[in-house]
Amino acid sequence: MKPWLLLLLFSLLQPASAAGPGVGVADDPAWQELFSHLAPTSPRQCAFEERRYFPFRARPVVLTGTVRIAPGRGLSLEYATPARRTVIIDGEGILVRESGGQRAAPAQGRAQAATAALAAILRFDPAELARDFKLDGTLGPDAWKLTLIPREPGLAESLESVSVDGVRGRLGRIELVRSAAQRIEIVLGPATEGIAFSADTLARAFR
Amino acid sequence: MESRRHKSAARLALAAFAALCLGWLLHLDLARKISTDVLDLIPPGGSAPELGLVRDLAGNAQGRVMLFSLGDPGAPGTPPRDAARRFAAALARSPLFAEAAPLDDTSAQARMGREIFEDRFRLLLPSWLGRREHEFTAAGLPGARFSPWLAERAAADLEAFLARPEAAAMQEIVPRDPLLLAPGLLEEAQAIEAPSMKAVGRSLVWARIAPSPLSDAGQRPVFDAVDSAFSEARAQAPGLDLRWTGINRFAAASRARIEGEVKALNLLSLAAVAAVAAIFVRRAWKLLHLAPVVLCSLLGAWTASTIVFPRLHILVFVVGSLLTGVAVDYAFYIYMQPFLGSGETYAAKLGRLIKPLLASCLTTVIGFSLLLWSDLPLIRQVGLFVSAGLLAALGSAILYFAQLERPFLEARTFAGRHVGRPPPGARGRRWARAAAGAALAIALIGPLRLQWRDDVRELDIPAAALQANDTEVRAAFGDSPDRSVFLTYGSSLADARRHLADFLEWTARTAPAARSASLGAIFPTEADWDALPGRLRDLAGFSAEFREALLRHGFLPDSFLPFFAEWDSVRSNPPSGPYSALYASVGAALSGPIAQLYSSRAPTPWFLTIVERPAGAPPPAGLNTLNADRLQSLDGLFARYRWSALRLSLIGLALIIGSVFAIYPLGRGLRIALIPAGSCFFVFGLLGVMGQTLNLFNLLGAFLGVCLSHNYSIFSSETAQTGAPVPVPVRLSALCAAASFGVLGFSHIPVVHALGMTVALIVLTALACIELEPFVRRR
Repeated sequence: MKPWLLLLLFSLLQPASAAGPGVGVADDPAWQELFSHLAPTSPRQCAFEERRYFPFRARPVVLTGTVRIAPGRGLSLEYATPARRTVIIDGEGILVRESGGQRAAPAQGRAQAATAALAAILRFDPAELARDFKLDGTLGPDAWKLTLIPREPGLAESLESVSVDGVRGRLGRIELVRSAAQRIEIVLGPATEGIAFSADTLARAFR
Repeated sequence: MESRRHKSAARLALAAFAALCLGWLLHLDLARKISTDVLDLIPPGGSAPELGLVRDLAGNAQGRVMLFSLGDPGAPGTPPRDAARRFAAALARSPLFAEAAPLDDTSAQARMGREIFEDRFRLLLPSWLGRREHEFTAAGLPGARFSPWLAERAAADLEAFLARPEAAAMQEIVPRDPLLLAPGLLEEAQAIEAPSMKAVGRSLVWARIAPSPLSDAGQRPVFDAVDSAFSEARAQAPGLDLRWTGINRFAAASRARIEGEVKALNLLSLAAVAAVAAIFVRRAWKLLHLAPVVLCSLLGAWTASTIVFPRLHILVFVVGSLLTGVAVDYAFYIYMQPFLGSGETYAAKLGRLIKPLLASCLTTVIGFSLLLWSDLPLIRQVGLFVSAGLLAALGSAILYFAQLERPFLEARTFAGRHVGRPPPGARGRRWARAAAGAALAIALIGPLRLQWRDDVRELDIPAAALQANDTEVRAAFGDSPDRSVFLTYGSSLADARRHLADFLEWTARTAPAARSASLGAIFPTEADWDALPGRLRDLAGFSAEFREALLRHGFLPDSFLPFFAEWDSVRSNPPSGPYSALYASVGAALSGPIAQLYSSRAPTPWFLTIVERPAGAPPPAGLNTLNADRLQSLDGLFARYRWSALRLSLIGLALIIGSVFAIYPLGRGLRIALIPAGSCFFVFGLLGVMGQTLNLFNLLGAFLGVCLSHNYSIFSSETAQTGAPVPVPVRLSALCAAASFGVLGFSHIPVVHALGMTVALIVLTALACIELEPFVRRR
């Protein structure tokens, strides 16, 4: 057999074996251990920088802020620049607070897809992730990268894939990909675990 | 001895009257003639657009909406979507349903969104340019700089938009719509999007029925169709539960209860009159002679009312049951007056009694006839019903007793005694006069403390359980006390849209933090529509300026080529045509809940606006905007009818009193006028002191009470002069009236309760005045 044929065969097999073990990621004890480190069991917050890539812009739009997770209360994205705005994702849906007022996020699937997917991913519940996404990943001694492809056709229409990577038990980057030219990249700073949110922060950042 | 010829003539006349009335009533299709439709209680629009709106909302598409909420207790937290789809499909298959769809089916919204997007330069661009021109003018910049200013502003807005959460979802349309015409509309529309997340674990279905919810076809057959669709859905999910609401549920419940009340109140009223009479008369069986008079009175009232009015509301018959209490007055007076010796004939006895009989009957009829000029159909119908019934009662009483041999109903001995004699000492009289003074003070001061409030919903029986269910289901569909709903109307679409623009501006100014949304925002005002061609003509350099501005803000201008091509096309061929055509094209694309958010129907087109704040003070009158809550009660409007009824009542009273002074000398006339008027003011004063809130029907009841008291005042006029005890027929009539109206006071319908209670109190007060008159009279 010619070596290039072997290479071709390997390249053809590779995606098949990666797609198959999608279930394997959730079942793999190493991944499960990582998920247990990443899953929020106590209040957590970190700074983030979000870069939104649009096909009609030369440069990404950059937003910065603080992400907070409070078990039982949901996820909160408090944007500080370029405009102050808070997006809250919890059991009641998605709420946007800005300019002293608040509103539900647009009800269409597309508008909520990215944010809802983000909230699901940040819970790092392997069973939930395996139910909603096809999982694929590489887990090295330090770095790891997980790719999630939505199973639900409605979500898949608006979100091609999500990739999450980090180093050891720390989440470093989330990328929500709609197409090659349309994606959102979120770079997370070091997280503060077990933080006690003040009453003011809870009122401001959560429902 | 009455002649046989007289008796036969009276019998024949009475039989002919009854036969004619029965013949007329039997030939009627009573189901069509008698309405249970609450809209028939409301006058046609006229000068009050609120009424046009209420009629339009209740009678047309909005009133036909039914809301369903399905849940599966076996799977809490998981909406039973498949079962809801099956349920909606089953409803949609029924010819009774014009539309039915699960609320999570957003295909209609998506279709409408596409239509609006494709038509955005015609629909949205005129308003966008108008707003920007307004802002530019407010900035005080020179007019020649408008185009570059607009280009810079649009590019800056686009950049800011990309930081918003919805930008990711909209990025595909941005190259065709960098002016953000469609995303801007969507942002404004957030408040009217169905908040399906509020119904956690439940699936919602929206439906519109084809027949009117107030008709028979819109009630029981629809409920059967709902049951059938639910059975079909349960076959898939056996644990499924259903909560649902619709105007037809309220209408059906109201109709059943009103029909029940008609029967119960009429029977109770008859029983109360019979019970009172049985206490006062020796041979109670003789009271059966009153039945033909009461029946003839009701026959006359029904016949006259059905001849005059094309449709009568069933409430007229509930209120009309009061006739039982009034109709017996004349019968008692004729039947209980003894003959003066064995030689007096019935004709001679009647000759003695005819003056007070006619005086009381005709003056009361004159008073009630004035109600025919009322603006409220119900009051007009009650006015005619009572007037005709009283005339029939008097006529049939005269004829009926004419055919009996010496008709006389003997009272028990106690019934003819003085209630009390004035104490001989001056001290007792001083006490009596002090009490009379206190009553006078209450009568003069108390009415000033009265609070008035009318609510059209009080014409109906409150259904607390249905209301609670309705509130719960509507809350799942997004109704909330934190939101208020306004209706802006006008004499034409252009007028309504202009008022909507003014209202939205007023809302933004008075409650800047409150978001508001109206489907009317899709349409430009007529002024912006007319100005569009001129504004586009003045933007010759906009394309180039916008390219430069986009570049400055970090965009790739060539990405927006689809927009520039469409812009150039719109500039060379600006949208034109009649303003109303805009609505026709959008209206054709609307269906489902969104189609209920405005109406282009003449004569009162309207737009609905949702404001995310609790309802506060009503908007200024010039904005042609009503809070939907106030529209439900029609308080302001009914206040106008209240004053109209008060004016009519006062004119009627003046006529009655005038007639009395024409018939009787001054002293007796004064007494006859003062007793009913004083009783009325005392009762209103007492209610005022007790802090009661009264309505239009208390006023109507007062008018009726005054008319009845006026009868007693006339009938007791002779005995008051001589110091003899109050005539038994007066006592019996007053107590019968108090009993029958007291029965109405138990009605579940608030207005009927108000009417009954007021009449009963005034009648009892008048009787007390007549009985206690000797205590305060000068000896």
